[in-house]
Amino acid sequence: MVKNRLIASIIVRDGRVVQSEQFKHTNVIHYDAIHAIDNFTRWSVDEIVLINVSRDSSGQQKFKELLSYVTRKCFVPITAGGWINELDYGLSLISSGSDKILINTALYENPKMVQQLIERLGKQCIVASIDYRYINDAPIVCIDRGEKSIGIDPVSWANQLDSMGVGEIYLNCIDRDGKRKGYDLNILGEICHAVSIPVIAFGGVFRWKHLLEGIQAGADAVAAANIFHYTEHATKKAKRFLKEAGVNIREPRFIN
Amino acid sequence: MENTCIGIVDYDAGNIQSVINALDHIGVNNRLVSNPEHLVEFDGLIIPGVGAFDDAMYSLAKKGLIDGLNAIKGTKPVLGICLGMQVLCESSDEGSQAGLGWINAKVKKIEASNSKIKVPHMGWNQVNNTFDPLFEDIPNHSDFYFVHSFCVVSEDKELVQCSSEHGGTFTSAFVKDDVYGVQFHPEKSQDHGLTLLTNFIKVCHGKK
Repeated sequence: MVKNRLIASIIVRDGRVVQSEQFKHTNVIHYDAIHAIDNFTRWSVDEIVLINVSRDSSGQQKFKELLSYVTRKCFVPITAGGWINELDYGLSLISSGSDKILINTALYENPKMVQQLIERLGKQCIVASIDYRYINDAPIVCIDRGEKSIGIDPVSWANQLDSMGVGEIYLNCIDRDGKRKGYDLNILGEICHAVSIPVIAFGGVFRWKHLLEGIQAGADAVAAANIFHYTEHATKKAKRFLKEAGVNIREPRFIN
Repeated sequence: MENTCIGIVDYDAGNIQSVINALDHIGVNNRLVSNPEHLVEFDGLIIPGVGAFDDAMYSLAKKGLIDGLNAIKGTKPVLGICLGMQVLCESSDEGSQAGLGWINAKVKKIEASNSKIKVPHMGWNQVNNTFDPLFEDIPNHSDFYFVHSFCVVSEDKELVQCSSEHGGTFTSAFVKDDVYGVQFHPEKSQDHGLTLLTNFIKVCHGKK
C-alpha cells in the first residue's frame, strides 16, 4: 500500500521564507529556503511544496532561480507554484528542477493552458490548489491569492478539477490558514471521498494531532508550513507521532 | 568512478533535471544524449521519463533513438526509470505503439479496485524482494517514491524482479543482462535512491 505523506510547505516572497496567516505574509522567517529544505529532508519529510506569494508577477524569474538552486540538493519530490499564468513559465518550473507544479487561479481563468500543461507533462505533474473561505457560512472557492470569489463550493470544484484531469488536490481553507485550529475536516473529508485522485490537506496545523485528524478524515497527504519552522527536528517528530498513532508512513529517521 | 560517464537519454520526456541533479550530487560525469550516434560514447545509459507511452515512443523514433538503442543493446548497462522502464517492455495498455521489447513484460493500467486505491499511484511505497547489485546496501522492503498510472507486469519466471503493492502486485524493478528498470524515482527517493544510482554507476564502471 502506498503510504500517507507528510509535506512541508515553504512559502516565499521575493526569495525569502515568510509566515502565512490568512494569506497575509508579513513575518519574514530569518533563514533561507535552502536551509529549510535541507533540515526538513534530513528529518525525513516526504515531500516539499514551494510557493511563491510575491505581490506581483515580477517575482517569477527570481523564484525560478531559487527553485533551480534548492533542487540541486533536494532528493525528495518538490512541487513549485505561484504565478503560473503562462504555459512557458509552467514548463520552465519543471525544467528548473521541480517535479510537479501547483496551479490555482489559472484553473479557473485559463483552463486551456492547464489542459496544455497536462498534455505536455502528464497529469501526475499537475497539482490543483483550491483555496476557499466561508462567506455567510457557506464555503466558497477563491482565486487570486484568496481575493476573488468564483462562487463555487470547494467540493463541486474538486470534482470538476478531477474531471479536468489534474493529478492531485492541495486543499486550503483560508480561514484556517495560520490560525492554529487544525484543518477544516468536514470539507476535507467530503472531497477525499468524492474524488479519485490524491488529496493534500493544508492550513491551520498547530499540533501534531491536527495532522492525524487530516489523515483520519481521508487525506492522502498532510501539509503544514509555519509550525515546521519553529521546532527542532520538526518533521521527524511529526512523523514519529503519526507512526505511533498507527499511520502508514515512511520511517521517521535522520537522513544524511 | 571518475572516468565513468553516464548518458541521460534526452527524448523530451520531462523531469530530466532531477536525474542530472542526483548524478551531479553523486559526483559522476553525465551528459544528455539525444543523437543516436553518440550513444556508443557512454559507459552506461539512463532512460528517464515521465509522461505518456506513445509520446515517448514517437519521440524516441523521431530522434532515431529506437534504432540507436537497439544497436547498443548488450554492450553497456542501461537503466530505465519510470516511463523509461516501461518503454523497455513489449507494449502498454496506455498506447498502441510497440515498446523496445527488450524485456518480456507488458504494461497495464493500475486497477483502482476500491476507493482507497487512488490512481496515479503517488507517494512512498515498499519495494520487496530486492536484488543485488542494484539494491546492495539498501535494506529489503525500503520505501521509494512512485508516481505512475500504469505498471509493469511480467509472467516471465526467468526475469529477476522486485514487487510492490498498489491495487495489486506489480513489478517495481527488474534486471536482465544488465538492462535494469525501476518504476519508482531513485533520483527522488533520498538516501536509498542515491545508493541505488551509485550501485548502477558501479556496474557501469565495472563493465568498462
